[in-house]
Amino acid sequence: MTHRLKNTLAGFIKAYGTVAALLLICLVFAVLSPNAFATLGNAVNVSRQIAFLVLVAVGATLVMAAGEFDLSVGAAASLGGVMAAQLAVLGVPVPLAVLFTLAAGMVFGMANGWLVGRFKLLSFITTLATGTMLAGFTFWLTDGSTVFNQIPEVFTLWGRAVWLGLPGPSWVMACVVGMAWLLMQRTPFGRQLYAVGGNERAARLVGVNVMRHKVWAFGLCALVATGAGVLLASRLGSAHPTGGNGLFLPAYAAAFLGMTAHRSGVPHVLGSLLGAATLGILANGLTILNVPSFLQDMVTGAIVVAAVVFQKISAGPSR
Amino acid sequence: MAVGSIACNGDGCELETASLQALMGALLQTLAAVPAALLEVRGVSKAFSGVAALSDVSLTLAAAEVHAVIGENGAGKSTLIHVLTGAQPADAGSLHLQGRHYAAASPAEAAARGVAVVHQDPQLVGSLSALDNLFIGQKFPRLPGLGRWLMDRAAMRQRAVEACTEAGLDFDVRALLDSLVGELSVTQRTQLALLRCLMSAPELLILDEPTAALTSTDAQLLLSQMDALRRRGKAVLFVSHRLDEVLQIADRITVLRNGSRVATVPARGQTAASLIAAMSGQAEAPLMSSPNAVRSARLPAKLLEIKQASTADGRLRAADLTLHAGELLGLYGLAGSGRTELLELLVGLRAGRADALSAHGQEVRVNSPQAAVARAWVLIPEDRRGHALVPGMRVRDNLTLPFLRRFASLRGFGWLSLRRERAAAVTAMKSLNIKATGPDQSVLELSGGNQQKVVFARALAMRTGQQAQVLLCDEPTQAVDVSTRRAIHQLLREHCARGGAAVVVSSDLSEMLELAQRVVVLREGVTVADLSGPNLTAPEVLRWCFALPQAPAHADTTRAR
Repeated sequence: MTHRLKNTLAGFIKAYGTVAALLLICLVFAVLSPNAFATLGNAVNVSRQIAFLVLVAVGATLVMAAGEFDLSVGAAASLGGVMAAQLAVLGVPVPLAVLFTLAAGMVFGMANGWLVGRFKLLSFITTLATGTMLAGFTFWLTDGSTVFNQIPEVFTLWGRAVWLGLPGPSWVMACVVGMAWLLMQRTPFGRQLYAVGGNERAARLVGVNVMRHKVWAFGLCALVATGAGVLLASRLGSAHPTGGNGLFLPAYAAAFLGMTAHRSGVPHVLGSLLGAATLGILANGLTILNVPSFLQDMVTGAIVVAAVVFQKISAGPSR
Repeated sequence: MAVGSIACNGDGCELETASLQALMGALLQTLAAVPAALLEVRGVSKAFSGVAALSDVSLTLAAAEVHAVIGENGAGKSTLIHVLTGAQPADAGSLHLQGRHYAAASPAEAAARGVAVVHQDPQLVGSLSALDNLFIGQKFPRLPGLGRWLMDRAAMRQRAVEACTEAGLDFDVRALLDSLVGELSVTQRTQLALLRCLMSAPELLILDEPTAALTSTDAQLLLSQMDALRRRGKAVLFVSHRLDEVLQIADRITVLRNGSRVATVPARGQTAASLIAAMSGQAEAPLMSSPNAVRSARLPAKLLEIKQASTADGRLRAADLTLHAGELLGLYGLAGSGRTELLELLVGLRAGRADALSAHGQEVRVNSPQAAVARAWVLIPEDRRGHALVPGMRVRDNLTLPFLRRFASLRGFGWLSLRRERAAAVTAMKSLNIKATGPDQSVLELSGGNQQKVVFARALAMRTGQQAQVLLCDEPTQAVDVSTRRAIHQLLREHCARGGAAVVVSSDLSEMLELAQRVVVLREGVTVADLSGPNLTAPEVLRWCFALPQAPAHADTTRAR
């Protein structure tokens, strides 16, 4: 039992190592900028700013849990905004436009999963290619221009609403994180998905349908990414055909940061939330301190590298 | 000489010289009797986690000698090669090469001392040309002057052809230098691997089962090349399962058994039968005792039957297997005979064809592991970390993975009850006495034996209701401790006594004879014998493995169909 206690303790220290780093960052900003950073209003602000990133990161986490990568999440987010906005402009009722867009995104993701699972392709290359195709399709939808004219007001409702003091995107983020966490930790599907990622051959041998799990993982990933794009367009009141591309790399940075907050180093939903929060708070704090954006990028990149290196060192030489 | 001249003064001079001469004469005689030893292995031992793989093995290799090393699976041949080539250091003993101490710490060091090895599966890069493969890891000839950093392909080509002629290899290397290795035939690859070894002009060449994948005509080419090398004064260590080839080419034969050297004999005068007797260590095996004698009384139902199974890669060509309820069947064959492939075909992990595959007498199709699991055919794979367990997960995740839906609401599609799942894991751990700090310990932290128990506990728990479960065990006791080995034997016997059935593949023939009531022998992808009762003896099993031509009178009755 002492061994188990020690194990749990080591796990806690590891998990809290990343949390502690986040708290330290907050503390530094709070000291440097007590009146702008360390306010409740700013905290609410941050929760809205990171919502889109968290959604994409959570989607990426599902695919990473299955041992694959989806490089098309940025393109899926772009598609989400443009397609939903365009449909709304064309007069389709907004709820229907959103539902249709989400369904299209999910079908795209499931196609990715089918290609990867059925033909045993490298997901890296497959999703790079399908993502490029999707980006071209999105561009074609608008002839490359931004959709902002005649967007009905209902479309911007969710992105700009505030309920019980929290912005709409923050509510969506909280719901999606909660559901994804339950899915991954409390259902057979989530456990089997982790098994596929941990040892695909072993999972297959005991009867797990590996392909079906990959299809669903990619499908849900694209669904959430598309949703992030819709939400972003709703927030901004406009949609650009490359509007979601910027979420792609930070989402993976967040997921990798999150992996460092787990004792076995596996991708997990709360970790990705933590990672996205770290990135978001850094961006927010540095902006408040008037740090130029190029320097922000350099600091953010350095922190991700440092976290990953730190995890490798602390995990020791044993795999 | 200095000693002689000092002693040589006064009266004693003549006497001293005479005794010196006698001494020299005796010395010369001794030297003449023992051929100049190129390699001397003295008392080498090697153990893996307490299990001896080689114990106190000595042998000598002379220049211009082909020395064969033979033995059953697990006799220590591979370990001996590893020690000789520096892949694994010996625990005890010493090696001398050309009179100098030899302790290669790496294959590169062995190569530098003139020891080269051709493995059964030639280590070549398929996507590169034959010419490039010859020079990988060696110094490339370079162009003169400013072209120093470019390869001189013309010089490479010339060196390859020269090496071929020098070694007296009778094949046209020029024709295949520009082909990609992936496009070459097995024979051509073996030739290429041999030539690559010879380019470093080794004194000792080790051939590890070089003919295993070759047809007999192609094997003859290799044998004649070995003869050519011998005439050029090279020493060849030849490891092979093919006794006819060993008898044809070898000067001397060393027989290993259970890691010890049993004998080193001149090949002349030996027969395949005498070699098998030496390998198995018994002229006649004792009758094996069946722990479940009751079973023979009733006629058991056929749980599984496969006929004429084959795979596209030819590793399995015509394998038959019938398994009855309550039966513990052994499947034996030399390495590469298709044992693992047959098990993997049965559980749908490997694509292949079979004339008929039936369960309970009804024809079935099993083309995916899911279909196999649904029929309660479960594979216990040989590589438990690589193929059976999910290393990053806890013990309990690994235990309950196949049947997680049992613990979920909404007929398996809702939430998991972690409490019930954990309880099931604890029960499974108790039933097999798995030693762990608890169900939440990482499975990688368990000992090898306990990891294997996790795999077995999981397999047994996969059974639902009254299903008669078939366990297909590939080397189930490999690298586990003695008590776990006993526990697994006990578990398999109990499983069969309950009406289940098991197929056990083991390289350990004595274990198989102890465990199984019937043994099916595979040779080169074909089932060649089905032995039980008085015919089930070690020499008999080995005789079928090695395809001895002369068959005793009762052979027809024991042969499969």
